Amino acid sequence: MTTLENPPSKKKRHSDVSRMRLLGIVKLASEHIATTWPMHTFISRNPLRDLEHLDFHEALRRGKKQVGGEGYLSNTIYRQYFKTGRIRKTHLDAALKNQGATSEQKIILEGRELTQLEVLRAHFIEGFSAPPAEILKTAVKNRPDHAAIEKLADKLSTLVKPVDILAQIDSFAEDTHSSLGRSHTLSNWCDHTFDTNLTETLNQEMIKWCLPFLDEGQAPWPLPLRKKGLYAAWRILLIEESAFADIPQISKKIKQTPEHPADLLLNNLETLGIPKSAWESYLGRHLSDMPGWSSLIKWRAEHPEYPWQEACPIDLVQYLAIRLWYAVEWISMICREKMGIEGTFGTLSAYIAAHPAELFLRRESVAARLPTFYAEAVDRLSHRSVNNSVWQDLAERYAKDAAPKQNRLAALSGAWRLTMCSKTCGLDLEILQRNNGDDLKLLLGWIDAAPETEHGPVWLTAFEAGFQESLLKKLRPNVKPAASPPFTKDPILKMDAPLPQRALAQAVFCIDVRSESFRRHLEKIGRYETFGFAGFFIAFIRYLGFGSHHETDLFPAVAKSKNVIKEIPRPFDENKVPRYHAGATFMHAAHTLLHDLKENVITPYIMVESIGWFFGIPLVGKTLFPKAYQKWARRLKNRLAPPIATMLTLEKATQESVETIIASEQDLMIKKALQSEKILRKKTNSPAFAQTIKALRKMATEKGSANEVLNETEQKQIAQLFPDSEHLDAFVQKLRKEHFVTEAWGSARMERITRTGFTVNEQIFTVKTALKMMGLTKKFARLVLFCGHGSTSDNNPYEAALDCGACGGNPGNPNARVLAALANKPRIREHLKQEGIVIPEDTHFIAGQHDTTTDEVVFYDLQDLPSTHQKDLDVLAIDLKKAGTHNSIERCGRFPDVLHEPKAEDAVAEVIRRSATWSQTRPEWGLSANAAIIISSNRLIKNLDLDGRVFLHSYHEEEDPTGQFLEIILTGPEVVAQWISMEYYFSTTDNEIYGSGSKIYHNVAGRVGVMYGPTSDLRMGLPWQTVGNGTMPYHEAMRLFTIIEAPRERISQIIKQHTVLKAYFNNGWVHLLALDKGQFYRYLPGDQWQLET
Amino acid sequence: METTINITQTLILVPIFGAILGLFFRKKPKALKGWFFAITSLILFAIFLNPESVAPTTKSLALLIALAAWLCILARYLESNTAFDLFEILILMGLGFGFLFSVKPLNHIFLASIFALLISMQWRIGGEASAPEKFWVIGLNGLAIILLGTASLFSAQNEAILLSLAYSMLLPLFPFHGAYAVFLKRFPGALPPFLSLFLPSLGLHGLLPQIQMLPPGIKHLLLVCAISGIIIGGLRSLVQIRVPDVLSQIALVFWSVLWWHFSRPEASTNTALLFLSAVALSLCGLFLMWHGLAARFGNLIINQFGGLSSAMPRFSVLFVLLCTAAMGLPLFGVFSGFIKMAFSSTSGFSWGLLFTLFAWVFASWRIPTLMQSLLFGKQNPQWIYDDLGLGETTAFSLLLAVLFILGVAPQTLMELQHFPELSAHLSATRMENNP
Repeated sequence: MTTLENPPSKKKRHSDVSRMRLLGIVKLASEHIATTWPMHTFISRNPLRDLEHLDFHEALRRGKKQVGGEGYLSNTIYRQYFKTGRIRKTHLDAALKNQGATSEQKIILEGRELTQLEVLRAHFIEGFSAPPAEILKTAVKNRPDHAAIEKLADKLSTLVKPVDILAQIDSFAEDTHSSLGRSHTLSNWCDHTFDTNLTETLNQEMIKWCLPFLDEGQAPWPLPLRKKGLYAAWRILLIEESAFADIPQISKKIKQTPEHPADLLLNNLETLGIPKSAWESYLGRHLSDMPGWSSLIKWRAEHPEYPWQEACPIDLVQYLAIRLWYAVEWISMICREKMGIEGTFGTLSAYIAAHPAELFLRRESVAARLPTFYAEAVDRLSHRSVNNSVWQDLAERYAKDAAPKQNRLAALSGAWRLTMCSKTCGLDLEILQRNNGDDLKLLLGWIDAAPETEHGPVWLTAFEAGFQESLLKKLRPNVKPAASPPFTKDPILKMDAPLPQRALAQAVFCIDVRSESFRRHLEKIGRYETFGFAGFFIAFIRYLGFGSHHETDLFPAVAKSKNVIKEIPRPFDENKVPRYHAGATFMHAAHTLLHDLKENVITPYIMVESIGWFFGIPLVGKTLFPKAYQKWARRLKNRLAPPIATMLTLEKATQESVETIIASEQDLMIKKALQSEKILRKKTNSPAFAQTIKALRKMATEKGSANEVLNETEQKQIAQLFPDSEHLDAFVQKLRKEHFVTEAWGSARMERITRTGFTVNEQIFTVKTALKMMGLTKKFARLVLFCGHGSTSDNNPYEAALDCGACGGNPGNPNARVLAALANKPRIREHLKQEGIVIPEDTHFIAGQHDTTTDEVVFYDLQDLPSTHQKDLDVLAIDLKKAGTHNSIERCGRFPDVLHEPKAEDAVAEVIRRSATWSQTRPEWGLSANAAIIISSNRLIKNLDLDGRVFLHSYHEEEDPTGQFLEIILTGPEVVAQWISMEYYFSTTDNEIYGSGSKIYHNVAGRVGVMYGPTSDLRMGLPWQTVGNGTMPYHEAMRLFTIIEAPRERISQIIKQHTVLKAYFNNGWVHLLALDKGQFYRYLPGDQWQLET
Repeated sequence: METTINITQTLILVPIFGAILGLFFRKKPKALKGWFFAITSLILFAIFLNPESVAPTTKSLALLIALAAWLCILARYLESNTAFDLFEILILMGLGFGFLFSVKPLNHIFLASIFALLISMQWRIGGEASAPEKFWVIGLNGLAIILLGTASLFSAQNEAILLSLAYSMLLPLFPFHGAYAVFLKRFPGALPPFLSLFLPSLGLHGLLPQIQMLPPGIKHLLLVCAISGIIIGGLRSLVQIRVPDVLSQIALVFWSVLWWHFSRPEASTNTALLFLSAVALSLCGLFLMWHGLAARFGNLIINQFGGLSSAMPRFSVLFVLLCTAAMGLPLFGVFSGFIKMAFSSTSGFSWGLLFTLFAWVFASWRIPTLMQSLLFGKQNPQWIYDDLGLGETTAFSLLLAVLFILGVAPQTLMELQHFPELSAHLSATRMENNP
């Protein structure tokens, strides 16, 4: 068997306009594909984010069609919720009524009245649907009342519409033709018709390329030529090495491919003959066949500044060009072998139209819907070249034989539904058997109008209604009635009054749901006032930690920033730096050595015997004594590289100082160049030499000859080093090319240096905005804690998912440190005073980090703490520890493997153990169970136990007359909360498609994600251990419920201005309630507000 | 001797009469199952204790058959219709005991009755089987009856050849394995698991005395047939889409290995019996597991299943263990059987070792994928899953325990004291081959 020769058109180059048009089509085609961040910066996102312009339920249907993901929980789970009382009958009835079910429609069967609402409710609660056809007969046979069901089926046989298989064959050709290229790729079609495994083969081939290409340092042998991009690397490697794929003459064929991937993609689409109108859906289907890797490539293409993308560029056009190239080859192989035709859209359509019987029977056979006799006949005919009439005869015979069986199955199915209905509604089955048939038809009509596949939206509405009702019930007592005077004797309203005494301390936590319980416990312990604020504390920073070589983006993924903050040693600890560096270098070298020895082809053989035992120490330690081992490892690390007190570079350098820095750096490079070129043999620091260096720098950066750039004195000095102008010019060229002493390098360096720190105005803006947004503008305590959060876990690829989402999936302590340091600056305070924010002199801001796994809080930059505040800090530290302990007890109650409420010390030990155990698949629940966000003053949530399910953002409408802060909150934290909510939602509704399945099978792939086993699509979303408990979900999959304490007009105004908010609130992605003048109002699509009673 | 005859006669009659008395409960499947369970328990107990004077091989085979019947009845998934297959199991068991415990020509009459009964059962299921399958069953079983009836008319050596041919319908040998495969694929209820063990056990019993009489040429032919069976069974198992089809091909590979063993000078009754017991019990278990699935969901193709690991956890755990045993992994009897066969040669290197390993791979390579397809992947939300009941769980657990015992204590359990005919013959063959 040979494949098609590549047509000459494969070399065809396309115009830029065609390429641009193709880019647009690929962008649209990738709409339903989520964007997946590399695992080390796990960002929760809505997997259907690009479909948010659609109605929520419509988007779910689209998602189901495109990627096969379920958008609702299964009916079994909803029914379980109903049985446990989580979903109440009133809410289910209300949701059913919304769908049009009424109590007015009824039937009376021998005196027993059945309303449509009653029947449908029973249908939802019990599920009347018959098992699918393939197991229906067996299922009926296994029931004790099978005789009654079969009797009822006999009765229904006259009511059921008879099956016409020949008509099905006719419509099959039409349906196939209309879905070909749109709902199915040609490879999908081949798989369904010929039982080939083409889609999976294509996936495997693409995984083979995507995994090594997208690898971020895990592979010991990186894929060669990655820097040229995926397409170029693939092309060159296949030309040189043809054994990669099972395609004859592959090198020759690859040589004929164009150099531009868009050209190849266009050629492929043309070769396959896909109609232009179907290109978008066709490419979309190809992306859906492997959504994981596609989504990472999509993210990479959207982030050109990402270092790995800069180094190894990849985009979906390249991916699709390669994928479709293989598809063309393999489809043509299969079509020639099976049908003797070219594998194009046109030839396939013609074949389908001419051979409907053959293809229908083949497809039925592949789907295992044919009885054995026919399946074997199809198998025999498939291997022979037979006339179309033979297939037609077989189809007619099958139609004759199978129709009665299928009619019987349809009758049995109806009988099953009616039997279930009668049992659930307490109706005697014999009444149905005695009925004349009209009522049965009507009853079946009601049931069939609400197939179980469509129950999701109703269940979801009822499910959400229950939660929303209970949350509002909790909040209502704290709602201040409209037009009340600000301070009254009303006990409820007292909560709005300032604390009678100055607070012991104020603490600002992230809005994260995990902070809610911690804040609650802290407030219970003492006179503490807490606030909720997005965990990046409005400090948009790129952070370069001490000893780190990479900057980390510490702000929400929706934002951008260029302010770099570096962590540097404090002056008094600078003498420890060499030792720290030596220790860190040693540890890094040891780690690299072990890694290299492990990964090398030869060394593992020797290594296992020689130093394999060494690995036994961590193995035993981590397995048997996780806590002790963790402590020991930390001590060892501290001994080797002692921790150093650090500070952050907050100030932006002035233009002059930057120029001086760059000049001195370039001078150093010139000196080194002179030494390496043996022009300068002795070290000298004379002023004259400095002048020479300066002159050389001038020549190199100003791009002119010595005569043009230098004055006479400088020329003389240079002449002492260089015998003639040719040598000088050659050296200057070298300086430019090899040592980067150029103006461009200087500019780039300047841009980089000036990114460090904040200007004074930026500092003032940051502190002012943060304090005003959180409502902390007066009554400052002596200590104000800005508390970021992070987590601790071992052997957990999803570690970043437990860190702060607002900080780009990183621990938030640098942001807290920045804000605290800025707020402590006298100069900033002076400016704030002018803005009306008076911070008392005895108020000191400190930074901390809450470890959400262990519930410990650590403080930072205590070197700056005035000695007068040490006592305050001690008290705060003790109370934070107590709050942490209470929080641990509360959290332990939620872990399924902690059966009894532990004592305080046991709870603390338990959470620490979870953080240190490397086999622990659930170190903490993370943000699981999140359900709502409340943007309000503290009064609304005062003394409420919100079960760690609510994001809490402090907001004081009176501080924000223009609505600008609310706008920031709604376009920042609200969006982040919605992403998190949707990530958890979809990971729960379909953990296999939208989530990443069980952690047990995970295998870290290229340090960018996880795969199932050794090779699979990249798994997106969250693992089952994060959202599920046993077979039931732990996370309650609901849309985010937003409550904003602000005037409705202000909210409406903001929604109107932002497309993303319009999509959320008008398309049903987020529920919105406003607390305005003491009343709750529900936002309805189209900017309408309805009083919530 | 008289006592022995009485007990063996009782063992023949009890199942048959038990089946006849079971007709009283024919419309009460639960009661019927209970009755048959009691009968088989009694038989199992009786064989376990008696009769001492019966050849150990015969006793072991009888015990194996009784155990299989007991397990099949215990693990039989009770549907609402009558469990007619249980009657057939008991009758077959009675006739099988007749073949085991009686002597020529009576034993041939019993065996011919079994063949005839199988043909009639094939007729009963009718439409389920295709025309070629019917031809195989009637043709091969009819041929077996004719051979049994006419073999004694020929010389001793020719008689041995003809009888071996007849027994190759029981202990399947390519190309006479067709009828066995059809029984396993098409028969309803718990019959396939029972027959997967019952027929090869009878085959082994009949074959052992004949082996010594076969001329070397025929033995070479057996070797070719065995190797062909291994290759064909192994390859065909890869393309099957239904569980019984896969298992019947795997069975062909396993039994071909046994035939190959018989064609070797190192052949040993102990090894053959151990191998047969372990393999037959594993196959019986796998078919019983399949029966559990088929009774719940119907005879579906493998790809229609998926996700049973979470939907039916008890089934999944036991199925994984049984697959492990059937694949020949350590601690279970199949492993011990293969190892004994592989190292039966006295010389350091033997082609037999390589062949056994090769056959081992062929026999077991489809099992992991079968396991993966059934247990993992996505569940069908519309299906009604119903995990194993107490009876089924007990039956499979006991089956695994027996396989485990066969794996760890084969020497003490299976050691045969008396089998002079074969031992003498094997010694002679060895001497011929190594003068």
